[in-house]
Amino acid sequence: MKAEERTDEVLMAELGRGRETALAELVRRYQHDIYRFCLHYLKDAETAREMAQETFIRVYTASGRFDVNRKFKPWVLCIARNLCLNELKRKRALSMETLEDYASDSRGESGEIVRYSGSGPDEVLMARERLELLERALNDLGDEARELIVLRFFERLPAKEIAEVIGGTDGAVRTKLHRVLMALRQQYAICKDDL
Amino acid sequence: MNEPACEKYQNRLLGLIENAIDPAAEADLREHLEHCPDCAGDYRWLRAVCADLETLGDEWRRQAPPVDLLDDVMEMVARVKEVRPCPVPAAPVRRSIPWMRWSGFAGALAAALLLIWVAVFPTGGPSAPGPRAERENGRRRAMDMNRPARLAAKTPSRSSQIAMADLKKILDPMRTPPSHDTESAPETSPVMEEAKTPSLHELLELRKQAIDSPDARTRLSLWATLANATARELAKDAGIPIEAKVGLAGLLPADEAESVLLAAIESFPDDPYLRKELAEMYSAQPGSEAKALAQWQELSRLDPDNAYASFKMASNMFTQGDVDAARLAIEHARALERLDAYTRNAAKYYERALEAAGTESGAAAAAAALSAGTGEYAQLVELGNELLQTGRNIEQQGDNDLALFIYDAVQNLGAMAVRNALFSAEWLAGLDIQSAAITVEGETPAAQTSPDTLAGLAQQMQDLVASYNELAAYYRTIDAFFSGDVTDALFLLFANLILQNGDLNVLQLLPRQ
Repeated sequence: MKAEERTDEVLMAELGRGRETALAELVRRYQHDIYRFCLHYLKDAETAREMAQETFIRVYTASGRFDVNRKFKPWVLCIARNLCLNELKRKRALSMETLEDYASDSRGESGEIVRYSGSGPDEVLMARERLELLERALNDLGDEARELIVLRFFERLPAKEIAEVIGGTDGAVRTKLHRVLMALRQQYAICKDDL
Repeated sequence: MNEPACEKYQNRLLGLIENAIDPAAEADLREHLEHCPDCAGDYRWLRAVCADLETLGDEWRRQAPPVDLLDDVMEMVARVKEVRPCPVPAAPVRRSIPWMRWSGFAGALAAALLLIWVAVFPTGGPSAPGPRAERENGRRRAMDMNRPARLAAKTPSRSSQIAMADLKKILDPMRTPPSHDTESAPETSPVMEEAKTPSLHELLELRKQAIDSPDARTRLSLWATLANATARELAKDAGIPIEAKVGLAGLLPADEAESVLLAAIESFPDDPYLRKELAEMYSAQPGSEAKALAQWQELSRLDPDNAYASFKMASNMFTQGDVDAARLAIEHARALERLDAYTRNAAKYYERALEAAGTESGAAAAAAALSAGTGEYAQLVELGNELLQTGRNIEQQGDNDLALFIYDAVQNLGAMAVRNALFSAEWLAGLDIQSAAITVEGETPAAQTSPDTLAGLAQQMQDLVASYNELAAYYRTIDAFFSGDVTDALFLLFANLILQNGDLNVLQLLPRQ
């Protein structure tokens, strides 16, 4: 079977036995995810790149201890998260990236978010306004709440895997996320009133 | 939220959106949503906001800049393979809270080496370039670096008046008391046999006798130490408060200590001391390195300015062969000013444990104060030992630069322990760590072939001798205090002041010897 057809966990088992081509395949698969994830925390492209590299070095050095019954992605995100949090502490820059910055990255040259392209003009306008309101509301959330949003909706992890990244249970993650989303509803309403 | 009955349904709404609830619960929830407009409104909101957030996420994923890490990662892996050290043997199981059970590792080494270094340079250290006054100023500055910050402003002690032989006589019993088994019955006086737990007055009398009597020191040690069997019994007692059980954790088998500490963390999730104790416990268990590292990381999050966790993380990472990460952790630790082994917290929890074991309140405070720092001394010295052992392994593999980096970091660890010391035990640990690091560095081929390096190390060791002497003078001050007219009330005040402020702060209140 070719490397690209093997599961992440099989590749980790191979890496644990010293086959470095398995690491190369894992880097190919996850380098964008890990880099983007680090960027969420660090705001700085170069530092995010360094931490992403460091994450894969950790994968290599810990490969002998990896439990192949675990899922690889939450495990590797957990490593990346710890590295980023340590880096933030090291630099005394404890605040996570605001979603304002994500939003500016997400805007087209016109400065507007381009989405719902299949809908009619009115729908596009309404959707854009709603999303802009949502972004404003997100920026007022605390770091922990934003981290949950990033993991769940930006990295598309289910609650069970989020729990593996940040610790706790999937039930606890859903409860927290529910609380965050309901708080967002209030914040959303405030932002709407401000407009 | 709507009606109290809605609570269970609210908690399932996200599960429904994720398709992560079982069919029976889903049917129940859908039926509720048909009849509860508030919950149905919340569900609609959650579905809409989840969809919008996923749209934002998609946009972010699409717009994120591309990256190609493959070549760099594989090149780094090749470098890591070159420098990856042999795993360091797992740390020996330790943890107890005995009175003055100083671990002998660095202490004995330092005491012996102090004599050697002094013998080599008997007239006040090696010659060094520069005017004498400048050398003296530098030496004074170095001495201040080896004094706890709270003492640094004071005039240097009359340390030079204390002979090396006296120093050894004073410090060695502090580190290595007569061994005893906490499970066995203590050798007791007739008074002690009548009382299962000592009174404040009995502790005071024994402390006074301990000035001249090794036997009294042993009995005091036994009195201040709960037997392991007692600790296990108390830990199982549901009526004992969790704080008291935390004080017992060091006396419990690992699995029972883990249960106690995890339960305490549930009650006090932000208490860094609890994380530290859990991490120390895991660190002592072979095969629990990953668990230990997670707890050190959590401690680092809870107490980001404290270098202790970063040094421990570095040691852990070296043990696991993660050299680059370990190096980063050391650099991080060295960038910090503060190092706290949480001796005050440990003493407070131990006081609660003694009370739970039936010791009267005043006696518990006194016993906790007199034994404060014992465990932390051992932990700090062990940390230095782990890192030095790693350095030796790396040196054997030929990476001398990395080994020297580690030895230097250990010296830094010792200096930080001294500067931040609130307790004499921490001060002594810092000095022992530094002397061990200087000794190891002095044995490297680089130092052996460089007279200048050897001279510099000898100078550092001379400075440590001065600081050891100052600490010895401090112990004499405490002994002098107890040889005076100390009442039970004054003893209790003394003990409480130590628990609140550390014994080095209390030293400031006593006339120096």
